[in-house]
Amino acid sequence: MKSLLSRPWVAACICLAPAILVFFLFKYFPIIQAFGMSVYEWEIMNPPGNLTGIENYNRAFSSATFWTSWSNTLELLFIGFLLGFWPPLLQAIFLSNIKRGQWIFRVLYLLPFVVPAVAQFTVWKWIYDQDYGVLNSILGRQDAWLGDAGLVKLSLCFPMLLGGGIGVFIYLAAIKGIPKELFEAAELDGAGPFRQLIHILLPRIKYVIVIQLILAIAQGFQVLDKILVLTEGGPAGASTTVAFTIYHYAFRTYEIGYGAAIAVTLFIAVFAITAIQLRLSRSKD
Amino acid sequence: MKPILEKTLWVLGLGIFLLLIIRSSHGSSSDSSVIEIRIWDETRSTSEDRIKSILYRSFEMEHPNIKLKRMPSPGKRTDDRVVFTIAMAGGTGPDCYGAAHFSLIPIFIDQGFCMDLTGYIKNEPQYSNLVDSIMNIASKKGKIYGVPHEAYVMTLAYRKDLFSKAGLDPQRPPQNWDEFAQYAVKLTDRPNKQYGFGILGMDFSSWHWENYVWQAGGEVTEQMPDGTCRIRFTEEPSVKAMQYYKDLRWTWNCVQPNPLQGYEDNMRDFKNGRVAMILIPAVHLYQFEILKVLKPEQIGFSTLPAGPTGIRAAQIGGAFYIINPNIPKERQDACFKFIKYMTSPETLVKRWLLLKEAKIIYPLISIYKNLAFEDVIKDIPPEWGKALTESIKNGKAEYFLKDHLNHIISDGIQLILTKQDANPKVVLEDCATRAHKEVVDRYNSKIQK
Repeated sequence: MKSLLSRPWVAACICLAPAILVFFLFKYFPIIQAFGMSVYEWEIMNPPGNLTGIENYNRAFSSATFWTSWSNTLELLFIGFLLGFWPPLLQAIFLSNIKRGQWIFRVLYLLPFVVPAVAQFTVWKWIYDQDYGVLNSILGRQDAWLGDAGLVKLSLCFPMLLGGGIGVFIYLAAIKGIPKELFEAAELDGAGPFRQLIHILLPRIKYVIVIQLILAIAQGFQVLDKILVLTEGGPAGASTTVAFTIYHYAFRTYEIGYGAAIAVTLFIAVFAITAIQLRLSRSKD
Repeated sequence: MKPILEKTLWVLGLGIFLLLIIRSSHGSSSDSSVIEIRIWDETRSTSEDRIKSILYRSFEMEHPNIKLKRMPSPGKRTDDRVVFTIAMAGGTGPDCYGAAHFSLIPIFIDQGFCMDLTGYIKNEPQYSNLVDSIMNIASKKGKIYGVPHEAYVMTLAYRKDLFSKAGLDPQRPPQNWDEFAQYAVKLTDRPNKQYGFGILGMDFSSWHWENYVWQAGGEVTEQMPDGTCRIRFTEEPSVKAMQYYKDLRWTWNCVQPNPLQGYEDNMRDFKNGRVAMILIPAVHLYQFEILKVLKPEQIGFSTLPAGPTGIRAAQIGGAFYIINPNIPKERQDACFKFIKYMTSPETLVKRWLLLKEAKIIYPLISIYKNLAFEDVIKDIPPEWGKALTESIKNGKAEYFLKDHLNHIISDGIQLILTKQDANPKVVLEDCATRAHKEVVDRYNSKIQK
């Protein structure tokens, strides 16, 4: 008699159960809990505190800080997309054409990924230093890259122009999955590199690009670490993002219910944009 | 045989899992008469840690029925506060917490992190001589929620060597705002990247700016008798203080090129001779390793320069010990015994002598009216001790609702420091509008309910 445990689906469920449990506990449960917290004046020691209903949301929507943080987040997302979304793809395309010594470039592109982000931002803080920074030294200027409201967003996004990281490898893997015969056939038909790129390569890795775009947008909305290290939301609120505002209200002023309400608005925005993106990408298929 | 093996493995796995769960749960002390209490405090350096360990061991020897389990708080101040908050929310907070800073304790009291210690303190004669202004910070509605163990006062630190180089008398620091600006201009040599004053424009810039408001004869905010908050930073003294900041930056041009750099950067610049004057609590001489780079004779200390009113107001800060209100009574009693020991005049003197032995010498303020650091430790330059003693006479606690309003006021300060055409009065009025809408009106209506 075959035991229950030897049935494939049972074994699969048992093996997946711990991961699903952890995922639910640390990913989904906090999201559900945040919804709950957002309608309370959450008390840390005696939760949940007074029920406020939608008051936290009213407060957020009537707050200048809230709208400024959204505006800053969207601007950073846009600049970050323009500067930082395309370099890993271009790097992967160039890397795919290198036959000899490709491993050297792969190591070089991967190394920054293993350096903690905080360490990288600290280095950039030095690069941007007004008196002694490398950037001003090269340009022969004394710009306040992080201290000027007009420059701070560009300064925060500029490092993304360097690309590298895991994105290069994701694109590279996708490119390597394209049959070489397609490129050979196109070449025989007289298609140059640019036409091969537009008509063969990009359409073939379209889904990977969409996934990377979704991840980039989701991460862009949640930018916090570089703000904490480089600007603390300044100058004069010019780099205060939604995530920074949530952190401020939750951990500095202990208005956890209010912070949760702002977090819920962020969740809804990211969810909506991701859903729209997925729908658009499927409709084109 | 295969099913038997499978079953055996399952039973074994389940058994190990259960054992791990039992092992990871809190176990009671093997000796039920010994009370173990968990202490979180700040870690500054290996040497100070060693001194704390010596004092903790002395306490355990005097109290054999109390065992201390010390956990240094992780990270810098902000991280430490986040970790503490999460621990308290999760029910795993320490029994006794030693890093409840003066600026944080009002918010800790509101959040219920601190036990009411009034009953303990009123029965202790040693606390009758505590400096009142310090003790009041941890008080609310007549109840006391913390015991101070460390205090500082904001002072002016200056590089005597740079003073001499600029032709200024290193024994005569600036006495008032006008002199301060004149000195700062003389000490500024922009082509050689030297600046007269390291201004604080980073996210907690109101920590320094409040001193100037007081020196101008005003207040940033005021707690009214009914507990509500009144914004006062739109009044003339605050506008004067903001104008002074603007003049230092744009008119006299005597501050560092990036006025928004962090506090640590200002300390670094002072160490490196890049700025000649900074506002600093004396304890930071050690904490930021300034005394590792500079000799005591290179550093001058003085009271903050007097404002237009002649007042030399200076912010006082420090840290309290607080007790977790959610632990059993016997552990609370044990915690108070520990706090009483650590804050006794005898232990304070012992700590100062141990610091001196470890060559950690920086001026400290005593929390007791009848005990002065400079009477015990003679190794610091006499003017350092004098500067602290004089400064504390005009010491003031940070402004009411600072944690909630700092980001709004700091935005205004940053605007003044980054936009030459920003009008101080207009900026402060905008900050007040925002403060009313986002913080004060709601706070006041809650109090009034």
